[in-house]
Order: sequence, then structure tokens, then C-alpha cells
Amino acid sequence: MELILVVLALLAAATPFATIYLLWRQYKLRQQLLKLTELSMEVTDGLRRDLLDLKKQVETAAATPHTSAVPAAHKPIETAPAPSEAVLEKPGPVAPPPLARPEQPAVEKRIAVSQPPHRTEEKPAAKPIIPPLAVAPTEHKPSVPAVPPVPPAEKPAPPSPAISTQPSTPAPVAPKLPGAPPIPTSPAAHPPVVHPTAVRVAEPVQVAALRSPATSAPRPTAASAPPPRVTAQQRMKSVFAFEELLGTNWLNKIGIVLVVIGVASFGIYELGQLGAGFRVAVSYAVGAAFLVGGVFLEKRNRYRVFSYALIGGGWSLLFFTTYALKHVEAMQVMSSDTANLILMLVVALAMVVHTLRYRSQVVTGLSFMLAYSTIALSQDRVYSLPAGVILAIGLVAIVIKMGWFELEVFGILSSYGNHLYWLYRIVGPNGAQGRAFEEYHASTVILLFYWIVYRFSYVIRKPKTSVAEHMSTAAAIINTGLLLGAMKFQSVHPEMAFLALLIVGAAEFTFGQIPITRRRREAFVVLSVLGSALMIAAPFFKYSGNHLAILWMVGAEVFLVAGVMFSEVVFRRVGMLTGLLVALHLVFIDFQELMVRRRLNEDLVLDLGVMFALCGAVFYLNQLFIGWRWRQFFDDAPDEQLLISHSYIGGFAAACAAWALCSSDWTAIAFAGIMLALAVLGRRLKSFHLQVQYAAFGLLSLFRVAVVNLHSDIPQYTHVTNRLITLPIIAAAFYITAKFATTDERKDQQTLRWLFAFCGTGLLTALTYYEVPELWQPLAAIAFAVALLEIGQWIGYPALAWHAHLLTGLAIVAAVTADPQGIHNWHTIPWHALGALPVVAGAYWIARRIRVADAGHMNLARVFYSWAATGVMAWVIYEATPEPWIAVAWVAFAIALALVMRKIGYAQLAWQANAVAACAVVRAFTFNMDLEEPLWLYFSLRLATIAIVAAGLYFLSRAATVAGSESRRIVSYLHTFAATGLLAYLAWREMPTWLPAIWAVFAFVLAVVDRRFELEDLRWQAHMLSALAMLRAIGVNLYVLDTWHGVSIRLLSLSLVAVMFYAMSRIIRMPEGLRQRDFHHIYSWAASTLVSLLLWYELKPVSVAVGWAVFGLVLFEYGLWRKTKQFRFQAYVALTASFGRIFFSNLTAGTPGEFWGPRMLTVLPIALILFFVYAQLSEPDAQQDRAFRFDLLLAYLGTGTVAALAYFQFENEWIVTAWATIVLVLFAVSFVLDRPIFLHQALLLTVGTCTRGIMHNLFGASYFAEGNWTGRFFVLGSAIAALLACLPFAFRWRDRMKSKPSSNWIGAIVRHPEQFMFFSPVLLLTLMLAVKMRAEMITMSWGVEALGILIFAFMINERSYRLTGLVLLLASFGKIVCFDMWRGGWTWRDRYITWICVGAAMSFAGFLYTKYREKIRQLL
Amino acid sequence: MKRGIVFVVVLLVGVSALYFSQRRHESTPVTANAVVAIAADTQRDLTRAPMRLTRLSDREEITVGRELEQQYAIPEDRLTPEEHGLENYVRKVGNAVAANAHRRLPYSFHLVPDRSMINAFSLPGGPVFVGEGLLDLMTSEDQLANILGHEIEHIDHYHCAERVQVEARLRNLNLDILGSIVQIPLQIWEAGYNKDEELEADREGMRLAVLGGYSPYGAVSIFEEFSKLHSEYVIHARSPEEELSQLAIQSLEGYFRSHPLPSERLAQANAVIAHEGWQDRKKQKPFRVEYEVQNGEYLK
Repeated sequence: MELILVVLALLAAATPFATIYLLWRQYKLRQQLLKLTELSMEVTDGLRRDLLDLKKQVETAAATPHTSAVPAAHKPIETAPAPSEAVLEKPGPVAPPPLARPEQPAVEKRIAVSQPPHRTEEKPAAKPIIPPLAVAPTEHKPSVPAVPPVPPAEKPAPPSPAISTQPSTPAPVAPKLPGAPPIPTSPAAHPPVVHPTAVRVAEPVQVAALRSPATSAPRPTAASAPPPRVTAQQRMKSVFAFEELLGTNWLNKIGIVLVVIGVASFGIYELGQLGAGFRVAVSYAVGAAFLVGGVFLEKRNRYRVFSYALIGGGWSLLFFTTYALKHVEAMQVMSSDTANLILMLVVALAMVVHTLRYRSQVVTGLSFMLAYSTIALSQDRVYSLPAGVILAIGLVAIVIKMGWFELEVFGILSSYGNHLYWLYRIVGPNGAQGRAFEEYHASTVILLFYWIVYRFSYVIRKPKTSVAEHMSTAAAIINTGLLLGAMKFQSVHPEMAFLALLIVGAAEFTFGQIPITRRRREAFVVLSVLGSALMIAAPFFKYSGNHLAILWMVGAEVFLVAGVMFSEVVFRRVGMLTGLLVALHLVFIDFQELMVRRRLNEDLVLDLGVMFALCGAVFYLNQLFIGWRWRQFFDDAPDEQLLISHSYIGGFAAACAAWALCSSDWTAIAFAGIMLALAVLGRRLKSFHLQVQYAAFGLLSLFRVAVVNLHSDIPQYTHVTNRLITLPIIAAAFYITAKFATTDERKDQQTLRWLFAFCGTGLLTALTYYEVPELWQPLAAIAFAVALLEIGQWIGYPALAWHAHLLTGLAIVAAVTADPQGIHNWHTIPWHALGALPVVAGAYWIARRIRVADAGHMNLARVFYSWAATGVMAWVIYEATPEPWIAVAWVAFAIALALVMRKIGYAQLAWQANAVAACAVVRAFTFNMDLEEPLWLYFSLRLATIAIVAAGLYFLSRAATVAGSESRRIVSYLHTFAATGLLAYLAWREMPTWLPAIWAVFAFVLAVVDRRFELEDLRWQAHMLSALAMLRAIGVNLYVLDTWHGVSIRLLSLSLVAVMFYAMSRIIRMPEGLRQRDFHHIYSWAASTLVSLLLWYELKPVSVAVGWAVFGLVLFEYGLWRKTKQFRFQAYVALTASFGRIFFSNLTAGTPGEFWGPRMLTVLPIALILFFVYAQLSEPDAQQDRAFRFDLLLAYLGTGTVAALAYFQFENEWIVTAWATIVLVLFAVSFVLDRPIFLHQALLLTVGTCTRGIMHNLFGASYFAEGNWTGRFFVLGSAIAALLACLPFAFRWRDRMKSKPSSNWIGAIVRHPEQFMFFSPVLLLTLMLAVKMRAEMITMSWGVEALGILIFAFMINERSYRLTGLVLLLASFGKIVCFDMWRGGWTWRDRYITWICVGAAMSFAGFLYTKYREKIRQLL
Repeated sequence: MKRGIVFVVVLLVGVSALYFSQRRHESTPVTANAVVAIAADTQRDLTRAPMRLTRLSDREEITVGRELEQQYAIPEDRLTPEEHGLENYVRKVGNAVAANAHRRLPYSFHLVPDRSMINAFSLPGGPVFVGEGLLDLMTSEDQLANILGHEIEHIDHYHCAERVQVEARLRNLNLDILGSIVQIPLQIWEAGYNKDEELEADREGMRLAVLGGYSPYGAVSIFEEFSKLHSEYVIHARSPEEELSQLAIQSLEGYFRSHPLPSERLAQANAVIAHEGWQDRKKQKPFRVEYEVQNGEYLK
């Protein structure tokens, strides 16, 4: 079991790397392809440039006298006018003639091919006549790569049409007659002129290069054309490439791996009658067979990949068998360690030599990986470790020879992995943990040997590409990491960790400094950083406390200074990063210690204080001196950021030092002092980071003041000396810091200054709070506010006005909250009310005096202060007036404010009057309505006070408005509505039983009056009363069972309200826009609602749904007949309600076992009505309804009704089959009627069917019902069959919807229902097999299913189906490996037979994929 | 015209359905059973898969059951001689019925001496409790055998074990900690199971009773008693507001108590008898408890 675990762990560990490797290989191949493309482009560009040169030469030659440049042989053609130019403009065929007909003279060849097929479309000569023959002799352009001269021997002139039509060459020359128009030549006459080979090679380039911008039509060239878009077919091909990779490559390899491990396990664990010799013979035979078979198949190109896997597997098995001769007990036939070692060396050498023949990493890697894995299966003695050493040496030799650096990563992982597994078996899962063991020294030597071998390999290599260098880097890091991990795991002397890390670090650092390494920058960096890191980490294992921080600090400074001196960025960064390490130590160790000591007492902490001060100084020195002196080293990221971080660390250390060296009240003073110093420095250096730091110090100081210096634990109004001394000092520090706080005039800088000044003000305010008595605080606060305002205006710093605002707010709060119990009174008036008067006066004073540059600010401040004064006055009235008359007094005060506003014209007073009136209304509703005391005759106190308030409101509706104001109408509305509301409420108190009818009639009367006199207020009040009547009817009168003269009051009142509403829907006056939008139909909706409610109350429960459906049907037909959509909409609501109702009554109605009972007889008519209404929606009058998707709603409701009926009508097990049948019917209906809505429903119901099948029939089935034939396969099988029966319709739907675009994934599903209808039943079938089959047969049944799917996929040419089969096959394999192998009751024999069989099966599948690869490609 | 004719036909169908339903004498209660059944069915289906995959072992289930049994069982010294005799009678019938269960568990049977308890419930691992009120309803031993078979099948088919798993998950209980299981209140076990599980327990309980030598008509007769009780106690809403309030209550309670209606259980029992060919096993044994008291002391 353990061995299998190890093998699988190795496989699992190797798989990601193998995947990464394969992806990297793919990337590399792609890169090569891109390079080839670029090379091709360069060649093309070169050709284009050459041809442009040629054109220039032609033009130059054309400018010179022809007689001087043209040989005599060319003269007859010199006079060719337009055709000659056409030769230049269509020069594609210029080059081919020499290729095609070398026996022809150059001149004739050019003439012959200078007639392009479309020459007649070119304009006649507008340019000077250019004799092409004179300027482009072939021997002048021998360097054109795309048009190489083809020797006649390679291109023997076949009896091609080009040759046969050679006599026609004079025809193109014919247009040389001057003035003759171009003669259109038939296409049949031209193709023979162009040699096919030449056209293929040269035409595209030449056309693009010689096109004349002035004379040719624009045509995309190779350089300017956009990159071709990736088509769907290309994408499919790329996906297929993965499938092909999987099928033809990975299946083979996985299969071979399984077989090899299986055979090795057979040798180790076979416990039958077989002897060691026989096992060795079998193992050798299989290995040899693999090797021979691989060598044989390697000659056939098609099976090359397959053969590589065989060769690798064969060699690994041979090596393992050789190793097992001595080291595997069950196969031991040799006694000499030396002989076995020599044999292993021989086999390893042969393996290296032979696998290198193929120059394939697959062969070599597979053989080595399998050799490592098989050795790991049986490695149990220290003497068996040399096998790994031999493999390591061999691997390193191959890596250095071939440059397969990625292979070395596998080697490192395998070497250390094998060793760790060996250690694990010796010392256990937790490692040695200081316990000595016998093999310790041998193990250490072997580990160091591994490290040296791989480090040697790393140092001496010469990677040629950056990728190879990166891979080498990974190997280097893994090497050191695994060495340290293994050493830690087998650690016998933990105290030596310091020394080990120091030595290994020094060695790595030294390796990094030798010349051969320094020539490779990446190697230098890796080794230097690795060494530095180890050396820096080493002290951690020996030292602690201040020593560690100081040591790291020294190390950091050494590296930093060395980096500056030698201009080496690596050293500088190591130094600065070490500084961060120091910071971590300061934060998490030293600072914690300081906190602990400070919790004990406030004594001076000298040692920590000095250390923090020293660190702070050093870090500030790094940033302020080194960073300034050698600033060229720290201009870029991340050096700049690292150095800045040192500044912050310095700030942190300085704060800690201040805390350690100054105690109690003086810590805040120290913080404020550092803040002030940094502020001065920051202003001088204009440093943002220093600003951040002194701001942080300011916060620290404030925090300290809040916690310590305020002494809030001492009772208020008690004088504290330290507080009186320190708070003004700190406030002064803040005020001075505010002066230095800005570096420029930016807004954020001004904000920073304001904050510091505000802190000063806050400190003084706090001092006032603690020192001044309560009743005097409002006066003190308002006086301080006035003083700040005046001082700010005097010194020209108006921002202090904000401080005044806050202080005024505090004064108001202090005035209102002072003496809350009202203990101190003057007659009946409390003193705190009188104490508020200075606040009012101060507020009015500031409102008058405030002057700031921002007009908005000033106006807002005035508004605030006047409102504050009014509010305080209203509060005073509330405090002094008797309770029943408060509302009246407030209304009177509001009237007074309104009158004053009309006199002085300050609009804010009108708003204040409205606010006070609103308070009066609230008071009347909440207090005066409950006053039952009589006042005079029949008038009660409630009537009198509310009447006065209502009168005041009506008066204010006209008086408390600003003339010309936009809000005037709204204010008037509010007042009149409030008055009407008061009256309506009074009516409620008098006649509650008939209230909805009264309100409805009242609303109707208001609507009639509005219709007559056009009073807008009344109309809206009518709406509101109607709404209230409706609410009252539904909320109260619906439940009234009393009668009036034998008639139900409910029926009468609801009917009356319904009638009123139907009438209102006709007479109510509305703006035309609203009426066009059917707002008046709100009343008809309400009436229909009432009718529906009456149906609900009058009918039997099981009839209600039918009644609503019939009512909906009638409403719909009426709406369709009258073309009134609102009635149709009401019908939809009624039908929807009917659908919902069946779930609460109809679906559970009837007697069990009764098929045609009330359930069927009531639900089916509802479904019929729903489908009927759905069908009517195709009428033209219902177009708007379709826009709202009511047709979809009704169709879904109809189908949902049928599905729900099936749910309750059939037994639970059979619901899935019923639904699947509905799916089939929906598919048929959708296809016949051509209505996609039913297709959508079918897909949705398919989801439901599958979910139901999985959840209920599979996992929800009885635990003991598997023996029942219906419980096992028939029920779900019938559902699956029904779903699969939809496939013909689905494929036809796919064909029908091919032309329709899809914008999302839902659309894609709908366009490809055949996918959905395939995968759903396949999923169901797969899970059914998994759940219902016996455990041992699941994998086999899945395999059969996968095979069936693959056959089906090949039959109908569906790639997704084929992939499904493939995935299912892989899942079978994964299940065996991940689950079946670990089940109890399995013997080793079961396991390795399974491995071998599954491996063989995988390999066979891969073989099939390889064999039929072309056929699969054709399907694309 | 054609559309009008179709409309009239559809309208007539609707009106006819309305007439039919109004004329029907049997009243149909307005219940949330349909919705609750769907919800409970869905909930059960959703939880069944994880329950299957993380099922308790028999040993764990027995441990849990014993812990609960100690909490709920009445000590024998607190039973009257009559109650003691009743408990022995229940134990005898229960052992005969449990002999043919699928799972070999230590089934035990207890009496709950409460005449108002017309119910029985079972606990994981084997304990079964029967209320004295339920025994008062019975007239034959076969009825008792079918009821006990029903409760045994709740255990046998892992209904109880799955409830433990669900409750442990909902209450965040660690079943490995001794005493944690007692946090599950008794009402959870008395509440019954969902419709599917109840019907399954009915079917399989009848099978157990028949294998134990009892008549399946014991189930029929006891379900007829339940049906009478149900028709007496069920509340029929007389107005929509009563319907709504009843629906609200049923939706809350019924989700956890989605028992099938007695009429459904009765129909299933008759169907099982017809399907299995048990029509000739009509003879039922009388409900006879044998005990003897002398001087206030239980003797037999």
C-alpha cells in the first residue's frame, strides 16, 4: 500500500511539472512558428524592397534616353506604349518567365508574361513609356530571394499549356500600336502564359510591391493588412489539437507507465509459486519486449510517439530489474554489491547512450522517471541509494550534453524525493527531531553529493536562451531548498543549524562571485541572493533579542554600503530588504517587549529607548543622507520605495524611543516636539513622506492627550495642574505646526494646516469643557466662537470661521442639555431656557458679522444661524406654554414669522414659518385629537383647537409663501392637504362602519366638483380618499358579517365602492398624458380586485381557481373585444392567481387512487383556458401584450400547470418519466407549430427531469429497493429513453436555427438543443450506473457506456459526443486509480492486474486514436 | 367566428368545471400540502445525497440511539403493573416483527405511559416508543404489529439516522462528544417524517408484519381509525382569511410534519395487499395483554 502511495505521489508530483513542461513545449513551438513567420515576413519585406528598387531603377531608366541604355535587341519593343506600362503595374508575372522557359531569351520571356489576365482593366499609359526590357535584366537582381532562378534540370519544361501557347506571345505585344486602346483579352488566352510555379512563388509579393499609388487602385498589401482573425474552424482545430495530444500522446504514456509499474509490482509482491529467477526473467522479458517493440515501431512515422513511450518504459524496466537483482528481496539472484553496481552503471550508460540517439526528451525523461519510480518501490537499505546516485550522474551528464535543463528539475525532484521517502521509512513522518540513526552520516554525504552534483551542473552550464536560464534558476532554487528540507527532516543536531546555514549560504554566495557565474547575470543574482538569505537567516537560529536586531542592522548596513561602493544593485537591495527584516523585529519583538514593560509601570526604559533611538537615527540617515548623496541609485522602483520605507521605519523607531524615554504627561509633549521638528524639516525638504510622518506623530500626540493628559478620570470642574500646563503647550505646538504644515498652496496642504489648527482649538475647547461650570458653558462656548471669528477676520485666516461654527453648535447643545430636570426656575420659566438667550443673541451676531470670501459659505452660515435662533425660540415657547395650546401658539408664531418675512423680505423666515406650522400640525394630530373635554356648548376642546389650527393653515397656505417662488404651489398644497386630512380624520372618528362608502362617495363628489370648477387640489384629494376607501374596504369591511335590513353590509359596501370606482374610472379628470397612459384604469383594477375577492369569499375552495380562470377568460375576451388592454392585463393577473391557487386546493383535492377526480377535472380546464388565452395572443390587437411577454407567461403557466398536475397525479417514482414524456411532447409541439417557446420549456423541464432523476430516483431511492426491477433501471431508463427520443427533433431544431444569431450562452443552448438533450440523459445514465450498479461493475459499465458514446459519436459525426466518450474513459481510469485501488478487500494481485489491464487499455485507446487520426481530422 | 366558437367551448368547459366543483359534496380543505410536499420533497432530495455519502455507521447509530433511549425511556420501577404488562406485550410483538428487518440492530420497545399520546416514534439504532393513547385505539394485535413494523422501518431505512445527521448539522453538534445528542428535543422524533418516508415505512412495515405472522389488514384497520380521527379533528376553513391563517400555520408546521393524509396511507395499504396477494390474510388476533397482580405486585 505504501509503495503504491509513493508511486502515485510521485506521479501526482510529476504530473503538474509534466503538464507545465508540455505547455512550455507548446509555447516554444509556437514561438518557433512565430519566428518562422517573422522570418518569412522579413524575406517578403526584403523582396518588396528589392522590387521597389527595381521600380525606381525602371523609372530612372525611363527618364534617360532609350537609345543609350537599351540594347539593340530590345529596340523593337521600346515603342510599346500602354502595354509596357501595364507590365510595370502588373509585374506579377515578370519574374516567372525565366523560371518557366529558360531557353527563351530574356526579352521575349518578359514580353510573354507581361500580359496579365486583367491587363485590359488598367488605364492606358498616362506615364512615359517605360521599356521594361531595358531596365530589368535578370542578372542585375540576383539577390531577390523569392524569385530564385530555377535550373532547367529541376524544372524540366513539361508539355504544359504555357509552352503550348508560347506562340501567342505576340498577341500581348499587339497593343504597342500607338494610340490603340487596350484590347480586352479573354481569360482563356492568358493563363497559359503564366507558369504555375512562378505564380505561386512570386505573384503576391510582386503585385504588392510594384503597385503604383498614383495609378493603381488601393489594394491591401501584406504589410498593411491586419492579422487574420481566428476562425471558428481554427479554434476547433486548436481544441482538437489538445484532444489529439491526449489521445495519441498521453494515453500511450500513461498506459506504459501503468504497465511498467504493474510489472515491477508483480516482481516485488507476487506471492505465488514463482521463483526469483522467473520474476527476473519476466521483468527482463517485458522490458526487452518494450524496447524491441519501440525500436521496431520507431521506424514508422505514424507510431513514433507510441514507440518512444515503449523505449522509455523498456529501459526503465531493464534498469529496475538490474537493480532488483541485488536489492529487491523477492527478486534477489545476485550477492555482490560491486557487481550489481557495475551492472547498473552499464545499464545506465546504455540507457543514456541509446536514448540520446533519438534526441527526445520524452524517451530519456520517461526512462529516468520510471527508473526512479520503480526504485522507490523497493528501496529499503542505505546501500540501495547508489542507484539514485547513478541515475543523478547520468541525468546530469545528459543535461550538460543536450541542454535539457528542464529534465534536470525532474531529476532533482526525483533524487531528493526518493531520498526523503527512504528517510521517512527510517525516521518516521515527523523526521529525526534530534534522534540519532545509523545511516545519518551516509545520508548526509549522499545529500551533499546530490547538491554538489546539481550545483556543479548549474554553474558550468551555458544556457542559450532566457527560458533555459529561467529553468536553470528553478533547478538551482529547488536544489538548495530540497537540500535544506532534507537536512531539516533528518536533523540529529539542531544546534548546528546556524553553522549549516552559514556554510551553505557562504558557499552559495561564493559560487555566485566566481567569474564563470558572474558572466551569467541571472545565475549571479540567484546565487548571491540565495547565499545572502541563508547567511542572514543563520543568526536567527542562534541569537535573539537586541543582538539579533543589531546583527541584522549591521548586516543591512554592510550590504547597503557595499552596494553603494561597488555600484551593485543586488547588494543594495539585499541591504534594504534586511533593513525591513530589522523593522519586523522591531515591530514584533522589541515593540512587544516595550509594551509589556509599559504595562507594568511608567519608568524610564533606557536600553530599549537607546536601541530604538539608534535604529531611528540609522534609518533616517539611510534615507536622508545616503539617499540624497547617491540619489542616482535610488531613483527607480523598487529602490526608491525601499529607501522610503526606511524613513517610515525610522519614524516608528523614533516614536518608540520617545515612548520609552518620556513617561506620563510628557510623552505627548515629546510626540508633539518630534512632530514640530519633522514639520520644520518637511517644509524645508518639501517631503511628502515626512508630512505623513509628522501627521502620524500628531495623531499619536492627540491619542496620548486623550488617554493621559485630559485626566478624564478626575471629576469635572476640578483644576489639574498638569492639564493646565501641558494642554496649552501642545495646543501651541499644533498651532505652530499648522504654520509650517504647508509646502505649497495646494488645497490638500491647506486642509492639513486647517486640521492642525483645529487640533489646537479642540485642545483648548476640551480644556474649557473640563474647567468651566455647566450653566456657564453655553456662554463660554459662544464667546469663544465669536472671538475666533473676529480673530480669524483680523489675521486674515478665515478658516477659523469653521471653528466658530462648531463652537456655536456646541453652545446650542450645551444650552439645550443643561439642567435637564429643570431644577433651577425663574417663576414658571426654567433657567436653562433663559440661558439659551445669549446663544440666540450670539448666533444672530455671527449671522450679521460673518465675512468670508466664499459667498456660498457665507449665505449658508447665515441660514444656519437664523434657523438655529428660530429653533431655539420655538424650544423656548414649548417650554413655557400650557400643553393644549402649544399647537395654537406655534401656529401664531408661524403667522408672526410670515408677516415679518413679508415686511423685511428675507425668504428664510417663510420657510421657518412653514416648519413651525408643520410642527403645529403634528402636534394637533398626535395630541389635540384625543382631547375629549367640552369647551363650550357642543364644541369640544379638540374641535376648537383643531379648527383654529386648520384656519391658521388655510391662512398660511397663502401668506407663508414667497411671491414668485417655485415652491409656492407645493406649500399651498401641503397646507390645504393638511386641513383636508384633519377633516377626514374627524369623519373617521364619527362614522366608522360606513367609512369606505362615505369616503368613496366623498371622493366621487370631489371629482365631480373638480371636473366642474377645475380645482386641482380637490382632484388629488379625491384620489387619496379613493385609495383610503379601497384600503378600508379591503382591510375592514371585507370581514364585516353584519346585515342591514337583511342584506350583508359587506356586499353592499363593497358593491357600492366597486360601482363608484368603475364610475370614477370614466369621469375622473386627469392630464392627457396620464390618461393616455391608462392611469384612470387604476379604478377599474381596484374594481376587478374587489370582484375577485368576492369570488374568493363566495365560492367553494376547490372552485375558486376555476372561478378566477373563468373570470380572467371573460375579462380577456372583453378587453380584446373593446381593444382595452387594461382589462386584458387584469385577466392575466386573474389567470396567474388561478395558477397559484391550484397549489393550495386543487392539486391535493380528491380521493387517493381516483384518476378522474376533482384534481383532474378542475386543473385541466384551467390549463385549457391558459393555453387558449395564449393562443389568442397571436391576434394583431394583442401586440402590446406580446411586448410585455404575457404570451410567454401564459405558455409557461400552462405548461407549469400540466407539469404540476403530473407531479401530483403520478407516483413519486414515475414523475421523472412523466416529465420526460412532457419534454418529448413539448419538443414535438414546438417543432410542428414552430414555436421556440415550447422548446425553451422543454429544455427547462429537461433540467427539472434530470434534477429530479438524480436527486429523487437515484440518491433519494430506498436503500433496500435495488432488487426491484422498477427501482433499478426501468423507471429512470424510460425517462432517459424519452429524453433521448427528443434528439431527432433537437437536431432539426438546430438546423432550423442555424441562421439565427445568439448573443449569450442561453442563446447558444437554444441554438444547439441537441447538445443539451444529449448531455442531460448521458449524465443521468452515468450517475444511474454509478449508483445502481454493483461496486465492482461500475467502472466496466462506464467503459461500455463510453464505448457506446464513442460509436454513436462517430456515427453522427458529433465531436462533443466523442469528447464525452473520451472523458468518460479517462474518468474510468481515474476512478480505478483514485478509488478502486484503495478499497478494502483488494489484494496486491488485484491491484497490479488492474494497473496492467487499465494501462493496456489506455495504450490501446491511444493506438486507436493514432490509427484513426486522419479520419477524425476529416470530420473538422 | 371560429375563434368565437372555440371561446364558447372553452368557456363552457370552464363553467362546467365550476359547476362540477360547486356541486361536489366532499369539501376540499385549503392546505399548503402541495407546496409543503414539493418543498419537503425537494429538501429531502437535496439532503439525501449528502446523507448517503456521509452516512453514520451502524455502531455510531446504535451509540446515539442508546444515549437518546436513556433520556426518554421510563424506568421500569415507575411503571404500574398494567403499564408493565403493556410494555411486555409491545416488546413481544415488536421482537416478532423486528426479526425480519433488513438490518440486524438491537431493537428495543418501550411504552410511553401517557393516554393522551396517540403516537409512536423510533430512535436511531433500534429503540421504539409507543404511546399508551395509541394502544387504546387498537383492537387487534395485528394493528400493533403493523404500527411497530412501521416504526422499525423508520430505523431500518435510515430515516432516523438521517434525521440525526440533519439535526447534528443544523445544530452544529459533534456526535463524537458524549452527551451532545441530548440537545435534540423529543419533539423532533415525534414529529414524523416526510411523505415519502412515511409511505415507505408503511409499505415495508406491512411486509415485516406479514413476515412476522400478522395480518396486513391490521394496517388497514388502524389507518381507518386514523382517518376517522382526522376527519373529526381537521379544521375546514370557512373564509379566505381563515384559509390564509391556516395556510400560514400549515406552511410553518407542515413543512416539518408533512405526513401523508390517512386516506393516502389507507389507499396505499390496500394497493400493497392487492399487489402482494395478501387478500386471504384477513384474520386478526385480538389485542390481549396478559398480566397478573397480587397484593399490588406484578407477577406475570
